Amino acid sequence: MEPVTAIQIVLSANLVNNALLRSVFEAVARKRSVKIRDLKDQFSSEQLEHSIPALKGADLIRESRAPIADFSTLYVTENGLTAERALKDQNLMDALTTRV
Amino acid sequence: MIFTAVTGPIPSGGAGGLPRHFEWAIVSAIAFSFVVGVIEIDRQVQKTLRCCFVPQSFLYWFLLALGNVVATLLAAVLVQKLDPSLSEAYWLFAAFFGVFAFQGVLKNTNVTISGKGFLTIDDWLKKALTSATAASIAKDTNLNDIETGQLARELAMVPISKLNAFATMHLSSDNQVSVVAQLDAIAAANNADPLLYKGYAIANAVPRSLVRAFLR
Repeated sequence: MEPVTAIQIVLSANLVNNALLRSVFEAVARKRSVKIRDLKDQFSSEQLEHSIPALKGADLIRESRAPIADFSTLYVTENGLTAERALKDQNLMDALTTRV
Repeated sequence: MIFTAVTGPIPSGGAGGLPRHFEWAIVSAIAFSFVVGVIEIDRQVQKTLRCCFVPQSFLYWFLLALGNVVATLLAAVLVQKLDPSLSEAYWLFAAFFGVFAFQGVLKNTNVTISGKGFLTIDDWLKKALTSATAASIAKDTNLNDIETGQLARELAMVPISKLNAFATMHLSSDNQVSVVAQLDAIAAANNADPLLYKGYAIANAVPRSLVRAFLR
């Protein structure tokens, strides 16, 4: 049951064939929570403007807002942790890349 | 049935009975489950230990303790086949082997309903752990943001010359431009209060003890 759920989450969030989404997600998931300002060291503002709403929409990350947007925190959710585990599982990734 | 065995009269040992001080084995298994649970959640969360105590963690600990207690009950019967000179420590062996048995065997046991595979106990535990981890991360983020916001507001009240001096000393600059000029430029570009922006930049990057010492 667990792998099926993980596959559904990863596929619905488009993490397999969208490298940018996957990179941004991995940057948040690796640290569990990260300030938007710190992400701007790795990604351009345009890239973040596109990817953050998509990841939030898939409920992989959530945002804790600060009065200044740069200092808002993105943190990984339960779905995000499941997706992260799936992305680390090479067998599951092989299955996913075959399906897409 | 489990609870009857635990709360009922404890046999003093011997063929077919439970080892002496069997209740200690149960307490040890529960205590060990708690320690293992805290370590596992903390390892997954990668944050401070204080954020690990959320309702979801108790559900995970409960499942872990339940599995360990059941395995300890099974192990209690088997340990009585050990050397009788070790009988005083049977309870300890029961707890030890019970917990290891749970990790190795019971976690891979399938729960089936109407002949269909439902979930392994390991799957249940993983789900509970993921839920506890996510709730702990959310709690840590919330607590951290509250503290950072409070510090940033306090820093924004400091005279600008002192704040700039502190920022110059403790924040690194990416290039030749001074860190104060960089922060002012970003604040202006984002239409943000420059003092509050510097306050947030300092509160996020500088150790809290150092910031508190500066604010005193």
